[in-house]
Amino acid sequence: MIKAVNGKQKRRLVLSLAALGALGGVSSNVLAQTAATYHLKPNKPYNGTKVKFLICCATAGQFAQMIKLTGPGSDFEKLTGITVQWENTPYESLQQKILVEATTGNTYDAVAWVDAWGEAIKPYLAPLNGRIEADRINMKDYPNAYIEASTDKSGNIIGIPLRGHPLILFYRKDIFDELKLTPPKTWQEAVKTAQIIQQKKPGMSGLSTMYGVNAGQNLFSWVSMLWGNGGDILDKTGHPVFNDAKGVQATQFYVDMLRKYKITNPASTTFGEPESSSELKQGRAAMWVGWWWYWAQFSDPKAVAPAVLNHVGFTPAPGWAGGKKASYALVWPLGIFKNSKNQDAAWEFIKYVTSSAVQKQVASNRSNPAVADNTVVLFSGMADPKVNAANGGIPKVGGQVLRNARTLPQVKTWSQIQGVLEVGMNKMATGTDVKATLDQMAKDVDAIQKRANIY
Amino acid sequence: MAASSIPVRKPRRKEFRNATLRWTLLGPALFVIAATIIYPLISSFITSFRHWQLTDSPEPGDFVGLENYRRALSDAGFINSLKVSGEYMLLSVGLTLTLGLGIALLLQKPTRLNQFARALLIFPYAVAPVLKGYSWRFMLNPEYGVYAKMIGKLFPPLDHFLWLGHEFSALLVIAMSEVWGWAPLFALMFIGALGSIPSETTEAAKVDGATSFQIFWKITLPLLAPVIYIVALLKIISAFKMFDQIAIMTGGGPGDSTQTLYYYVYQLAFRNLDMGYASAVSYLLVVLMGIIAALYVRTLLSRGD
Repeated sequence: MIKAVNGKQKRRLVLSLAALGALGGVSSNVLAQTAATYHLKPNKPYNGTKVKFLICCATAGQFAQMIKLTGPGSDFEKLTGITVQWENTPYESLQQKILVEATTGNTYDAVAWVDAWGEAIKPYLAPLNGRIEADRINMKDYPNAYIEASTDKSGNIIGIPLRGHPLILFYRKDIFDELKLTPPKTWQEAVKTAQIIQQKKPGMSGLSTMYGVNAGQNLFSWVSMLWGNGGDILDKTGHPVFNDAKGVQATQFYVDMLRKYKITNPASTTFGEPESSSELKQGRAAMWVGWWWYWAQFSDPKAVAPAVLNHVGFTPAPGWAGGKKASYALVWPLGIFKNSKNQDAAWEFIKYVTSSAVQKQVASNRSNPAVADNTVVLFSGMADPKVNAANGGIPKVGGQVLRNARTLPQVKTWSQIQGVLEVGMNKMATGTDVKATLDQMAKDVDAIQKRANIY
Repeated sequence: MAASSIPVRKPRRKEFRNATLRWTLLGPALFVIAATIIYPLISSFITSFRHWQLTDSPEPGDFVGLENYRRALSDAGFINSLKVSGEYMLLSVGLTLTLGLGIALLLQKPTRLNQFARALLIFPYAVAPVLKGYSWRFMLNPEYGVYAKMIGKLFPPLDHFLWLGHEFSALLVIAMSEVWGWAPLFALMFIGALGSIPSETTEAAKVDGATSFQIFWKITLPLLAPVIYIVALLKIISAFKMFDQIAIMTGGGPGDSTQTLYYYVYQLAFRNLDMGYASAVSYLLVVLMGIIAALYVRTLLSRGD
């Protein structure tokens, strides 16, 4: 039975409909405004598009949070109608997969890669300059090292930095306070500080390092010393120059930390990043130089020994005494495959995840320690009070480091060169003559460059 | 005449039907073999004569004749990996055979305890190589590794010894991680072979006053020789295939002292992305393995005869 609608009810109905209409208008306005915040196009022009994103390491806190922000039912999907599928590939096979996809595939639309792999895949990535200009993306907000790694030989920007890390010196604040030490500013000071710590705290390594053969990790501190001392890996023409006088001096110092000054665990000849960082986490070392994202781990009760928890301080990675302060900064640029059929939708995704708002939101979210991550790639994010408050101020320190940071040589032969360098470094750490080994390494790199017609 | 021609036709039709059925049933398997083994073998053989640096081009480049093979002969990395593979093969085969035989001699008698121990022998072989690598790496850590600590207690000069940090010890440890799995398996094979040695022979030797060592050296070992030869060939093939533990435990280090041929090919192809050269080095490895495999098959067949 249908009841007749009286006048009072009619008024209520009209008012309700008006309120709903108003809410709808407000809601679409809010969506439009939110879309504008991320430089996204209004009115969902790519509604229903699926963007496939080739990436690894979904367990990294930053990525884990971003997957939630862009996956099915996410805010990003509500704003754009685009669904993003993060293809979580194991790190070990990511480079091959990217290369195969870039050269022969058409499965993926977007891709993120490690800076050092870039030169080999840059020809297969779409230039983004036009899009950056049209959407007024502020590229000056990114560190130069990140931009350099995201630019091809013709000067086209082919990636927007998604994730990046400066090198930070982590140290035990409690031990430094107890021994009245100040954090070292140079590698030479670091050696002296480490010697004092080892003298006063027997059984503890002054500085944890990594000399093992493991994806080029034993080169991170070395390149910082090399650049700091005014040396370089390759000259502008691509010839190896790391065996010149400055290179020999920096390398000898790097090896001496282990063999002569003995300020590091002798087992570090087999260490990669996990083992060397564990030295600090487990309270066996007083200092460690590594990527800033480790800060989240050092402040996680489940990841560190009780004696270490809340006692890890940080400061910029050391420079070279009397030289420059130029450490290596690692970056993951995010780009679009030339053969993608969803380039416009992929660009919407890139704008969203690299936007200042999302970067800050992710970096300042510490509600779940398992996915907390201080990583932020924009200077504005690194200076943001909320992001710094959530991360004990490390973003600001990272920003200082990144002002002078550099990227690895952007040459297509880098993976081969890295192989020669990391094996040579490990040999020197285990006792071969520094000058003779560097000369042999330079000879091998020269052969690689000639074979690749670099010169 | 007509009656005699009928029986001739029937078997032919039947034969044809049988042949069709055979090929129909074999077809899918042959297709999979062709697609996953024969095609890659032919393709990589052709690639081994071409220049193909994946970072230069997604397509194979020009034919360069024997250039990739010539390069291997003067490549210090290849020569080093060949040497390392040879050393590793000698170490792992020697240790596996010795330990396997030792375990077999210990567990030879069919007592209850021995039978229980024999049942346990298969477990180390069932452990995945990657897991072996991680476990051994962990157990040999000089700070907290249980093996490292045990060795340190038994031999104080080796306390805190860096097992993976020295050229020989790193190779030895990798070999041991493999021997740990293979020696018990070989022990089971040897126990079977020992059981087939007629007891009259050894008893006669005992009556003639032969010592246990003489019986082992002059009777048991010669009678086991064919089995030892076969398992040794099997282990040699396995030793040349060593990859997992190298990748997990040392990454080819210290320096390049544990870089085996397989690991070197992996580096060339998937790190350096030098497909042409990696194919050539792979084929050199294929030739080497082919010789050993031929010896193995020939021995098996001759035993069958």
